[in-house]
Amino acid sequence: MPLFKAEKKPPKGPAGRWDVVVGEEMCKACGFCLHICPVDVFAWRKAPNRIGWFPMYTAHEENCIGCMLCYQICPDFCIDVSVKGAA
Amino acid sequence: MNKLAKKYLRPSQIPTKACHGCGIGMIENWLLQAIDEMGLKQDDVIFGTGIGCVGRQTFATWGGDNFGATHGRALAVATGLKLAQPDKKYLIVVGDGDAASIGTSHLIHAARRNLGVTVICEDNMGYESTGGQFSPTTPAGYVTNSSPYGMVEPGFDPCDVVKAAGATFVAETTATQWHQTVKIVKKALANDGFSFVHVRFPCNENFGAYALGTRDTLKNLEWIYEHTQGRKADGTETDFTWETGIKHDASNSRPEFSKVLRDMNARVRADLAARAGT
Ligand SMILES: Cc1ncc(C[n+]2csc(CCOP(=O)(O)OP(=O)(O)O)c2C)c(N)n1
Ligand code: SF4
Ligand code: SF4
Ligand code: SF4
Ligand SMILES: [Mg+2]
Repeated sequence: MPLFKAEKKPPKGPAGRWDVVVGEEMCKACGFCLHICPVDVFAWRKAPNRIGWFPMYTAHEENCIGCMLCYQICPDFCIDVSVKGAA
Repeated sequence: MNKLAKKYLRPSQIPTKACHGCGIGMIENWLLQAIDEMGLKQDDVIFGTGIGCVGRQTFATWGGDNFGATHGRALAVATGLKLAQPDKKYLIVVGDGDAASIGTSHLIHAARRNLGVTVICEDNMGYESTGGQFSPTTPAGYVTNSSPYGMVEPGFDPCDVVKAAGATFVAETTATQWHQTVKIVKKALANDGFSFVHVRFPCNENFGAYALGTRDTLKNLEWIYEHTQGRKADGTETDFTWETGIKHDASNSRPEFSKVLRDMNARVRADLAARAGT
């Protein structure tokens, strides 16, 4: 389900060149990243983290187009997206 | 943890104390982007707050200097700090209850004096840290913990109030407008005077539960989005729409308060010296 239309059209790069890192130990499982990502990069873990949430993880990094929507919307500073090799 | 959080925040306070899906963290992330894009360092910015969810998180997490004042009194403390350290940037991050209710007189007079600070009023439409009571920004008719039959009091727009009081930069955004919020906060920080940015955001835990009947994080954010756009997902009009954007920009048009006081101080000293000489 798309969460809502982004305020601005995300700039799209080619897929496959992005590192998507989720800080799983600090994720509170709001689900925003999962629902705003246009290319289904994220999925839920089946085991809780140490603060009791079932966190998000990067399931399909290869799909990522670097639009940064997940980074902008995460309320818990969990997500970093960068060009592979740059970080 | 994202790069800017690593650069600016206090690791011991992450994960933050906010509920899951609370908009406070999003806005804070955008504040960090504005700070970073302006080339400001941790030492250049002082965060201050009163009491409430907004305050607790934002003041506790900032890695540089910060302070927590009593409820509604952040601007009183900020006034003293600005006089002592005029070259710092001040982000006074307070709730709607803090800015538009218990602290309104401080807000009005800081605006009147054109005190050089930026107030970010993060508005979850109620007193959420105390269980979700209504505030002057709760929309008419909405149910809260203290308005079980719907909010009957008329509200007011804090942007109108500070503009009338003399604020030199006034703007409004919501938690679904990140580019706009980052842009606006940069302008607010560039004003050497009183800037006020009003940002509405979702509180799932209380406002959501009472007023919208759901703690679903997605539904709460969607509700903010719809009232920002004025249109629901099904295409029908919303019951009201927030007018966002820059509402008043008279940046750097009149003297900043701490400068006025320092100039006066210099005049008094010169006067005393002249009198001592005669
Ligand atoms: C002088 C004083 N009066 C009342 C309180 C109780 N109190 C704590 S938080 C709060 C409301 C905060 O509302 P708001 O500023 O909107 O922040 P939110 O929790 O909604 O982010 C109140 C009334 C207090 N702490 N101090
Ligand atoms: S940047 Fe985030 S939202 Fe955008 S495609 Fe990559 S993972 Fe999805
Ligand atoms: S947006 Fe952030 S906190 Fe929410 S589920 Fe994704 S990673 Fe977790
Ligand atoms: S009570 Fe509401 S405003 Fe406070 S942290 Fe929870 S969701 Fe956020
Ligand atoms: Mg509030």
